[in-house]
Amino acid sequence: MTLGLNIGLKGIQSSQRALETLGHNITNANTPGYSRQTLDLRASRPLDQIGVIVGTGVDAEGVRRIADDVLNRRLVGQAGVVARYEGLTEILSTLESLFSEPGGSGIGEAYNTFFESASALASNPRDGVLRGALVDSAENLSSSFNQLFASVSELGDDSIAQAEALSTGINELSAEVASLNVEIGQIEAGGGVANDLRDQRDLALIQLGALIEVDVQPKPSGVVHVLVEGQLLVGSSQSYEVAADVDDSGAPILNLEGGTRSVQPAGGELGGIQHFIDDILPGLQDDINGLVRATILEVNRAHSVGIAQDGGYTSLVSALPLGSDGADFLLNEPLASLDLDFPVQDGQLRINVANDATGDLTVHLVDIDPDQMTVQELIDEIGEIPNVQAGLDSAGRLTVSSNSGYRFDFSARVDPNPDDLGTFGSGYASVVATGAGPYSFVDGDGIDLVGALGPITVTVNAADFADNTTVTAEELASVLNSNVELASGQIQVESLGGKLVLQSTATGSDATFGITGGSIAGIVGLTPGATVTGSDTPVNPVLTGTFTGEGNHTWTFRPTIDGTIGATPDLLVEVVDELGQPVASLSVGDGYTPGSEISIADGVSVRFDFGQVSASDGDVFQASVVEDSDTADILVATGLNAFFQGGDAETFAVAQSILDDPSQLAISATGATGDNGALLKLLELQDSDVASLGSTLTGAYGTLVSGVGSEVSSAGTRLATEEGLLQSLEERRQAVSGVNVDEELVDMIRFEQAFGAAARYINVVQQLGDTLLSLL
Amino acid sequence: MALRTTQSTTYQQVLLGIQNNTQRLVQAQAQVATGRRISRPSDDPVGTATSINLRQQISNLASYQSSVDEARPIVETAASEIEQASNFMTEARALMLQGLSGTLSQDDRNSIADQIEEVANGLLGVANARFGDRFLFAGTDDGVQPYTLDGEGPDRFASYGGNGDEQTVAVNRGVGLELNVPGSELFSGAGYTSTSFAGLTGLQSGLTVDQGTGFTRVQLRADSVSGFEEGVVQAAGTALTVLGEHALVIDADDQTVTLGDGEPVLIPTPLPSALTVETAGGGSVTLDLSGWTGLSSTASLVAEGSIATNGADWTPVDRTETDLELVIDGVGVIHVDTTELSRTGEELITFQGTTSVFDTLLGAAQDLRDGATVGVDVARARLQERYSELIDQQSNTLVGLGRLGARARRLNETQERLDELSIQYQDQLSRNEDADLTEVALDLTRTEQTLQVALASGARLLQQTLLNFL
Repeated sequence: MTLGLNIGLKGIQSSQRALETLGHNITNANTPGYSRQTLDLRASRPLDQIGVIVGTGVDAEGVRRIADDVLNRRLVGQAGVVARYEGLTEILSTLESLFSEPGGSGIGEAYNTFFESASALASNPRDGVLRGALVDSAENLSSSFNQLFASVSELGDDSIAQAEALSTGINELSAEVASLNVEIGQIEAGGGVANDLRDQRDLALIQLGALIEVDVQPKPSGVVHVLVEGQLLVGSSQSYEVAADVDDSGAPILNLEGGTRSVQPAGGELGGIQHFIDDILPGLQDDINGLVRATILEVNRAHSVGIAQDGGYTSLVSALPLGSDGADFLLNEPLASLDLDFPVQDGQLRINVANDATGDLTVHLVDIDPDQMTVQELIDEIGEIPNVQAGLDSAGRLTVSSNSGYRFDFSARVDPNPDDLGTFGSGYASVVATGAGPYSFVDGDGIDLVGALGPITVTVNAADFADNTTVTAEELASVLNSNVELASGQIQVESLGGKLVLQSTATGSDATFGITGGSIAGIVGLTPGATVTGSDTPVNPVLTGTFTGEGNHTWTFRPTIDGTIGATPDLLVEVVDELGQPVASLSVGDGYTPGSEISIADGVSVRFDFGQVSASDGDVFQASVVEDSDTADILVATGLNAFFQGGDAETFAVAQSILDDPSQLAISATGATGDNGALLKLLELQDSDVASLGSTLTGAYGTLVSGVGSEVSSAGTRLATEEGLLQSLEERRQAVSGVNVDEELVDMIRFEQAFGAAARYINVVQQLGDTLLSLL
Repeated sequence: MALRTTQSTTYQQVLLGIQNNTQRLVQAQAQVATGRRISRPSDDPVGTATSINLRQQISNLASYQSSVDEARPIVETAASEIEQASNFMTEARALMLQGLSGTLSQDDRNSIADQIEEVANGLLGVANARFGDRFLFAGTDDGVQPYTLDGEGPDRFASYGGNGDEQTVAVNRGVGLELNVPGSELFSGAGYTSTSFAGLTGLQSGLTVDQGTGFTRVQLRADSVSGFEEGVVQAAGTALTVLGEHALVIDADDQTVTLGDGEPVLIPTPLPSALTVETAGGGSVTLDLSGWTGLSSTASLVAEGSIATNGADWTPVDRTETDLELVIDGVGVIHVDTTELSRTGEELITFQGTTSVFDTLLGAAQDLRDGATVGVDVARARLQERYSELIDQQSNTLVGLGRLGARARRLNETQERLDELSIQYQDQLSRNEDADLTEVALDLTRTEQTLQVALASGARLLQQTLLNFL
């Protein structure tokens, strides 16, 4: 009887428990992270009633939460992946909006405006307003780049600040997990089940996983350990604080309290930030800098060899110092080891010096080998050019200036009067030796000449030379010229292309001298017995046009026979380049009208006046025709006559000299004020591929923007995919652990009825008891 | 087993559906509102790059178009100025033809000279024509007035201050177009074709080609004469104008004396101490016949002389020289043959070289005025020379006009092509980045409908619960 009552009681109690559990479920249906709970019922242990095994009712075993821990851990991971792409997409969307493309007022537009202004100026090279407009648009281009780069870099800085904020969140969550660990451990050690606390911990873990990639390790005691890159973030009873920092490359890192090394998690929101700063930002900054450098380099290459409004320079100062404070020790540094934005190449710099009064142009080539040539040697080499000085100013900047009455420039223009020395049918009596130096001389070597005052013998000694076995024509000329007798005999000695040149100091048909012999004559290749006479009708070769060919060349002009320009049949002037390859053969004999232009090659023409030329006297002149007058890039490297200055997107700016005075814009390629050659060269940039970029400037910019767009677009796509995956995991969790109210209501009815049935049963047992009692 | 579904899942699903559809609706709406398919690079990364490149092409074309627009009036103005120049030259030719007429008085010639100078001034105005602040005919030195007149009176000459280069503007990718023809080609390009001598002294052109410009005068004088037969000498202190070798024939029968190809001169009695005989060319010698033997004789007289180019620096003449080089300061170099010299005097030489049209015109005016001093025939001969020069110069000018005309045509063609290309690129750009409004509108409607369905079904679904029936 008691047993029956007990059975009924247990029935009522278990139904009540069940109803409580489902009430808990229904009320927590919308609680985040909640797992539905269920009451485990079991039949009580049966009693052995003298051979008859009798059931003893129902026992409520305990309340169990329905959860799939593996699924929950996958959710932690997936939440991290989604948060990573969420963070990344957010940053990248801000990034792409910085470009204002397509069609906005972005850098593409700035490039276009720059080239449009240049083109407008090319149509009106002397227009001051257009010149100002070009400078403005150049400034717009440079400041657009400055701004873009600053904004992009700021985005990196913002991200680092964000990482710091995230570390606070991480610390709060890990502390929460740790305290839940303690509670769960205590409860479960006593045999209880900490269902709701476990739910809270799972939720906290998912939230933690969204911030930083974590590894969750459940322990038998019911606690979990949380590891970040193998280091403990949360232990059984305590959490370890993280502190945000940046590494050497500026990427955010976390230092873990008690950790052995800093961590750089790949997943979680922090992982997204880190991916941006580590993998996207530097590449983007490099690309922007590369574009800027290509722009500076190519624009300056075109500009630095141009000539400004006033037709040549009297003084130029480089934009960059060749050494800090112009310290002396840097003077002996090779150019290659200087800290310059752009490297000096192995090549040549052409410097033209024009005489203001006569318009005469002399061309000088400075060979530059950056590994060998020091700053001092460069200064000396430029300073050796007549009427030009070079030096460093107090700030260490390279200065080049010319004497009053002279102007210099670096243009590739053709030297109109290439026969500077006067060795090609000029007024001087002159003879060019046939043998090129270096020569070897011993004491007493001499040459016998007949000068204006009669025979002269000039001798040399081995001691006259630095090395008497390798004497250059130049060296020999200077030694011979120091002879007083030679000077009074009205003879001077020069060198041309490594060969010795003997020349009268006077011009005209009265100027004459002869070579009678001597060992020097034999060594250098002068024919004894020759008498040369000057001319009243100098041939005056004049070059015109602009060299349109490729590469830099020195053309050598020689007549084939002795004869008179415009008169002698079959008289040719052969033109060969520096390798001896024929360039042209000019017919200047009886069919030629002296003074008329003959085309040589590649846009360059020549004209000769009437006069005699002589092959037997070695008549010759050389002309340098260049495509690029600064193959060494020394102007660009030092910022001499630069349009832009700076070496990256931060320092990119219009050269101060041009900002101060837009008339310093080098528009002309020839020095004529209406010429726009340098500007046309600059304009070619908009259509031609730049070697370092492999495309045009705007093309490279398009690729860069397109790259950012792709990053955003692919991060967005990835985010959608990962969110879908998270969604489906969430659904599966809901399927396992979620509360279905309808389901609970069904159960409610069920247990309500069970309760009623148990109560009814007690009633029946009671009636049975009453019945029995009434028998007593 | 089918997955359990919970209310949470249903809510989530409904919410997600609404969100997705709303997002699509906003995107479509943005496309309609901006009219653009790509509003940020991530909308179409490749399309963005294409857009940037297309915009650059369009900007290039705009530059080329404005270059062409700038160039056209310059070329056209230059062409019309050259036409004007050619008209001036035609007028000058007519005036010179008039001046060549033999029936004019010196006053008439002076008046024509005045008119020619007027024309020269007009032509100078044309040569110095500007477009805006640029001189049209100064090459690339277009800030400098190309032609200036220097010197005074008969010595006036024009000098060219420009250069021989042509200004180029870029009118298409890698295509430049020259804007101007330098004045040096238009007005200074003509040359003489040969050296000619007035023929007074018997000086002839040498073997070698000459070099220089215009006219020069060479002076010849006689220094001594020798080769007389006995009894005949040159009268002391008398002028000697004969040069070279001439036969001096004394005929005792006719009592005449003859020099070279000249007329016989009767020997008067008593025998004269000063009798002038001359050659047909006018070379004369004055003889002292007082010591004449009375016999007939034929002597070979040889008169040696000197030559000068500036009337001061005399050089003895070698009569066997066929190619004597004379350097004339500031003018040029000529070569003369002295073997046929017959008399002294000043020889006018016109020689090969180039000159400017202004020099020709001013020279022609001077020739006309000089009629009084150098003789009408000499002046006419010179004028004739100038006239043919002017014809050459005019043809040079017309060649220049032709070149400018060709450029104007090229500019027109280029402009048409640029316009065409510009439209093409604009079209491509539009197709690349603009939204197809029909498609977007359709999309919009479709998304709207989907959203409405999602909302309606969600609302119904969420209402379904067992509670409704308890």
